This record gives sequence, C-alpha cells and structure tokens, in this order.
Amino acid sequence: MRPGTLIALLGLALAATLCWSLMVGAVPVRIGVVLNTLFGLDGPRQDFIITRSRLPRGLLAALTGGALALSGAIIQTILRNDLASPKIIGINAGAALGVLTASLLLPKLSASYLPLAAAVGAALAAGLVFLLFELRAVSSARLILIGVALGLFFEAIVDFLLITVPGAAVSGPLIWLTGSLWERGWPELSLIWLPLTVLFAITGLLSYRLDLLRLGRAQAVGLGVRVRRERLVLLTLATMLAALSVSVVGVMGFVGLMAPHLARALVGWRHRLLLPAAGLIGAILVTFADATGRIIAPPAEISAGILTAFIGAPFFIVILWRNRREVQP
Amino acid sequence: MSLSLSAVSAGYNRFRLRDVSLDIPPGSFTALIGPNGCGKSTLLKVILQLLRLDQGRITLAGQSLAGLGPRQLARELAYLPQHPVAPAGITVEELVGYGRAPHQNFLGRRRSADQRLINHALERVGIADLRKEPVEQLSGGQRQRVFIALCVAQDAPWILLDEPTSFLDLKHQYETLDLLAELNRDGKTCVAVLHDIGQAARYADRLVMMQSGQVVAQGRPEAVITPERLHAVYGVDAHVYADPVTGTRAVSLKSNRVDDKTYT
Repeated sequence: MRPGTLIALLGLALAATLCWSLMVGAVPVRIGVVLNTLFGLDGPRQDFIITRSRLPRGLLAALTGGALALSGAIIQTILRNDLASPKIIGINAGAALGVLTASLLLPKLSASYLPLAAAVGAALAAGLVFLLFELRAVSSARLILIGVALGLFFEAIVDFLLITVPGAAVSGPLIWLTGSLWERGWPELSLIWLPLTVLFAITGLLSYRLDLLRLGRAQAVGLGVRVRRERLVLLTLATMLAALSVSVVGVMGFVGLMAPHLARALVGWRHRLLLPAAGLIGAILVTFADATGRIIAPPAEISAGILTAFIGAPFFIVILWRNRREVQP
Repeated sequence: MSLSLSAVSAGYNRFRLRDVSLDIPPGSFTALIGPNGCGKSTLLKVILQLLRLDQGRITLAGQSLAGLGPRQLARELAYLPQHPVAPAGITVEELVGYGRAPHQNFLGRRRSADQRLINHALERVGIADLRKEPVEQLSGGQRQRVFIALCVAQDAPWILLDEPTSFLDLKHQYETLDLLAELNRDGKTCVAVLHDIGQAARYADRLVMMQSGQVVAQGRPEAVITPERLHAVYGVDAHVYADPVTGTRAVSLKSNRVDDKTYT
C-alpha cells in the first residue's frame, strides 16, 4: 500500500476512534445521538455528556497522544537510538517530581497550577540531560544511560516522598502520575490546543532537517547542516511537546516510545511520512485507551496511561519481532 | 584554487594536530597516510569543521573556510565519513538524493536540476540499476559506491574520503579506488585517507605522510616513500621497490623469521 494511502487510513481510524470514544462510558450513547449532537441535527441529543464531557476529553487525548508520539519520533531520530523516548530525557520523572514538590511545598496551591509545575519539572530535567549532552560529546548510548539514571534518581525521590509524607497530601498527584484524562475538559483543551498546533506545524516543517540529521553527525555536517543548532532546536521542540502533554494528562510514558516504531514499520523512516503517521498512531492509542478505561469497570475509570501500556505493549512486541531489521543499530 | 592549511592546531585531547601546514592543489588525487592515530582522519574533520580549529588558518582558493557558511562549504567539499550511516529501509536513490541538500532550501524542495544530477551521479558511479534497492541489502562494495554517488550528486569540486577502502575486500578496494581515479579524471579533486601504502602510491599523485599529529612529508609518492621514512614513521624495516605491474612504489616488509635473503 502506498504511504499516502496508509496515512489517510490512519486519519480515518482516528476519526472512528474519536467517534467511538464519544459513544462509550458510564452512560452509553448511540452513534445516531452522537452525530445529532455533534452536527446539531434534529432528533435526540446528549449535549451534556457529549459536548461538556466526552468531546473535549477525546480531543485532549488525541492531541496529547499525537504530541507525545512526535516528541518520541524527534528524540529517536536526533539520538539515532531506538530506545529513546521522552521518558529517556527525563521528562516523565521531572514532571512527576515537579508536581509532587509543588503540592507538598505549597499545599494551598490550586490544582490548576499542577500542569505548570509539571512542565517546569519536565523542562528542567530535559535541560539537565541536554546540558550534559552538549557539554561533552558523549555518545547517544551514554546519553540514554544518563537519562535513565537521572530518571531513576528522580523516581527514587518521588517514591521517598510518597512513602514519608502523610497520604492525603499526595493522593491527587498520585492519580495524575498514572496518566489520566479524568475530569479533564474544555479548560485544559483551550489551554494547550493552540501551542500544540503551532508545535505540530513547526515539527512538520523540520521533516527534511530530521532526515538529514538521521544520517549521522559527520554526514549531516558534510551536507551543510548546522548540526548543533538544529539539534538544539529540535530537542527543545520535543521537550515542549512532551511537557505540554504531561502537564495536562500526566505521565504517559509508553506512547512516545511505541508510536514512532509502529509508524516506521508502516511508512518507513522518511519524516515527511513518519511524523504524520506517528502523530496519528499516538493520537489513536491514547484516545482508544482513554475510552476503553471508561468501560472496563464503570463508573470507576482506569487511567489511559495504564491502558496504553497494557494494550500497546503486546502489539509493540509483535511488531518488533516481525520487523527485526528496525531494532538493529 | 588550492586547499591550504597553515600552522593548524586542533583536535581531541589525545589525537592533536600540531602545527600542520600543507597545500593540496586542485585536480590532484591526494592520499593521507600514516600509522593509526597519527591524525589523518582528524585532519579531514578539521577541514570540514567537524572539529574546531584551535590555531592556524585553512583557506580554499585564498578564502578562509571559517568565513564560508556550512552550506557554502558543503557545495565546495563533499565528504564520505569513515562509518557512513544508512537508515533502515532507505533506497539507493533516496540516499543519493540527500547529496543535493546543500543546494536545496531548508525544506528540501527538489527541482528538476536536482533530479538530473542525482541521475547523473547514479550512472557515473554505475549503480543506476540499483536505484530502488534498499541500501542495507547491498554488499559492502556496492554500499560504498552509493555513498560515493552521494558525494557526486553533491556536485562539489572536492571529495574528501575517510578510509574509503578500509572495510572492503580486495576486489572492492580496487574497484573503489578505480572509481575515485575516474572521478579524479573527470576533474574532481580527491583527498582520501588510505591505509595501504602501495595502493596510495599507485592511485594518488600526491602523498601526505603524517605521524603523531604532524606532517612529516608531502609530495610525489616516489619522493615520500623511502625506507628511511617508513622506518621513522611506522617503525618497520621495509624494502621499497617499483611494482612490476604498475611501476609505482611498492613496499615489502623485512622479517626476522622468513628467508629474506633475496633482498639483503
């Protein structure tokens, strides 16, 4: 199948998943009612459930899933390492620590500031990893080890705080740490849709630069690329994409690693195709996981972060197994 | 139009270039030779600005390289790194196409002239029939041709190659060198790091011999390759003689073990 067709199909799949996510939940809604509500048609409608709750949530899931996937695709290309993901450059752990620190130091802080604390923590952690990367020209494998070590260090602090601090103060952040879209809606969406759209557009424009950087530093320099500068721009972009998502939906680590791999297996490695494919796959994954989490044990919800790993991991392993070429360095 | 280094110092902590001065005339085929770690690859990296220059000056046709932007530099000098990378799944034509990057805009928009030069490069290097093949499925020798085609598509008058023959078997080593000699006849100036002194003497018209980050000799192969210098630079006792096939300099090492009497 031609790559263009594949991407169009992924787009359709996302639309279908979004539609389905509007139908399911504690109160099931038929497809006819969903369409009536969305397009203002005559007939029975469910304005409150669809418009107020599920629609913004579905859109939020799609946007953040796409952002995490793009972030992962950029990082894997820049570091030329298939193990890389936003998690590796310390985004998750940094965000977690940011949220926890903020809610412990400033217990009176409104929950709406938690995203900001997450973004700051994520950006600081990523900045620290990049700084080490740029200060000394370490190999990407070593950078990843540094990122892993830093992540474990942060996680240890998080665990320490969770154990030593009385329960009530950290129960809110705890849900957030598993990556959930629970009670997210228009306020969060209105906050991040514009910055994310702008970041998506910039990432798309940089497809060709990513192609060139994928050839390795020596070759890229030989082809006239300002490698250090472009790498810095792209890594900043990746950090912002991931930090923005994490700030709203919490820690959802697996999408950023998995979506680019699935996309590469489908459309190859050229970023003009890879980026849209990865973004769509990420969006589908998180939207699907969020909707599924609502119907497994209603009215309780299972976090989308948990389900992305639960659904995605076996699928991911199968893809890697069948496509062994892709995992070799 | 020559490429000149004057009093260049640069490099990593261990492998430093010290006070290197050298002049490479346009149209030449220059081979950089010397023992491992002598700074041959470092020299190429400094010219390409992969490594920062600590001291000295590098000029191309009298103009300082530091004044050229990276894209402009890439239009003058094409580079084949020692370990070039082919991403999984990339086809020959796609990879060669990236040679046009210094001539394209930021987004990589391709014009008809680009496609023409890509086709020319594929044919010049003799891989036009492989254009749709994935690079990773080619043999080592074919893969090296693909990367040389990338340099040809780059359409730069200079081609700098870091050990282009090192990981090839004998047949492909000579095929690669023959190809470089043809490109040289087409008018490309070739600068290659080579390990085999006999091959260097046979294909290059100029040698630059290095040791511990310094240039110890440069000039015609007959002048550079002498038993004394091989002893001083490589620490070997060697015979230097005219190759019976090509008439160029060839080297045979003396050994303590075998019957070397024929040459004493």
